[in-house]
Amino acid sequence: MKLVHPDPPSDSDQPEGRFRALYAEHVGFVWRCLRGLGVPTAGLDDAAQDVFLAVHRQLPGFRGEASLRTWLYAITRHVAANHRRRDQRKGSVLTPLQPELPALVDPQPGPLERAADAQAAAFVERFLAKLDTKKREVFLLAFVEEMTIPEVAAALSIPLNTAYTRFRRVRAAFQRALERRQHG
Amino acid sequence: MDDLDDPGLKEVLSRARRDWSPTAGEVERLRRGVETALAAGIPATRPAVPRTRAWVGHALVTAAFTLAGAGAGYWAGRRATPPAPVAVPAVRVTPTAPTVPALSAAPSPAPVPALEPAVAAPPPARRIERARHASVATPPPATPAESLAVEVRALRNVERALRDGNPGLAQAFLDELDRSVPGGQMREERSALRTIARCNAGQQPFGVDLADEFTAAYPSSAYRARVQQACGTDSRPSGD
Repeated sequence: MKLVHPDPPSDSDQPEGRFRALYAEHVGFVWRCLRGLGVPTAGLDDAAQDVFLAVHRQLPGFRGEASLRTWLYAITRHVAANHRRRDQRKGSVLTPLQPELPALVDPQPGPLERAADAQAAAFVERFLAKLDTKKREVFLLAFVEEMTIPEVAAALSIPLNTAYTRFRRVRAAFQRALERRQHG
Repeated sequence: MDDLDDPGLKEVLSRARRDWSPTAGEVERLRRGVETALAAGIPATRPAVPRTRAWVGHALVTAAFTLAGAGAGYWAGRRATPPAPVAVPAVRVTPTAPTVPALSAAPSPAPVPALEPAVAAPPPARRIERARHASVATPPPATPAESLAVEVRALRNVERALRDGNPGLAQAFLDELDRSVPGGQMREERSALRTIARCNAGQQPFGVDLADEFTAAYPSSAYRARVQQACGTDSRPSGD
């Protein structure tokens, strides 16, 4: 998303236009990050709404010092932590993870594909649940969101070498888990 | 992603990513919720209240309770039992009439309401009493924007009460809302939530299908599946 535009103003240059474009482009990213950070599926709507309200409030002050996804992730991470704390007090289970009722609106993909997706998601979620928070975040950003390691380091405010180290460890653990899944 | 080329691994991640992504209905529902919250001027999240300052929070909530009616009353009621840090998320509603610039210009598929856990636990009488008591001094909002803000706040509390397994409290909020903002701009939401609350509380009159009544009144409602689920009828649309 281009936030600073030298050309004649367009809709995306206006505050509401920027927000609209940001929402359209990044709602999936925010949603998946919340899920990967342990917000229960029943609370995703709440949490995502909190994220975008915070984004709307803070967007005028965003000057592009960080990448947009890095900035978004910082907000998402904060909101997810708040929601987890609230849910912990209520005694609910933090790890999301079992697929909810089948999607009622999206006609595609087909049932078999959805079942395979849900199985893969459940596997990844079980894996995530075994990781500590630091590795979990690296896995989420590098593997699920396909961010580069420098981006991951920036998003988590950690040194690049630390990010690479965590990435390698998480990758090795994930590959082992995958092999056990394939052979077990 | 750096240095990750195992096809099996890629496939698992790709599938998980797809499963984790929001459906079109979820994106639309979220969009409308954000728009309405922005229109109503509702902040994203209230700051957490440290345990040591719980009494301050209690006092503030009590003041808000007097000023803002049942919504604040709910939170005052929640804090009446052991004081604890509280971070309250913003509005959780699925409005029908956004009043801020739309987040997406293109037409979107019908939103699907969240499937709340249908837990039917009797609400503590004290909470309901406090919520009802709080409403007595609440003046009717003066402008449509204020009315909408009151509706959004009240419906958020209704949703939260339902999620907490307090259908009686949810109905108390709805009663209060009906008194303070008769009619309003979110009638479908009110009707849906009241139906869900009644079903969760086991208040289905003999020979009456509340879900059918709701569907007859709002045949294309995005709440249909959720109402049907709460009322114990089929939650899956035909042809799915």
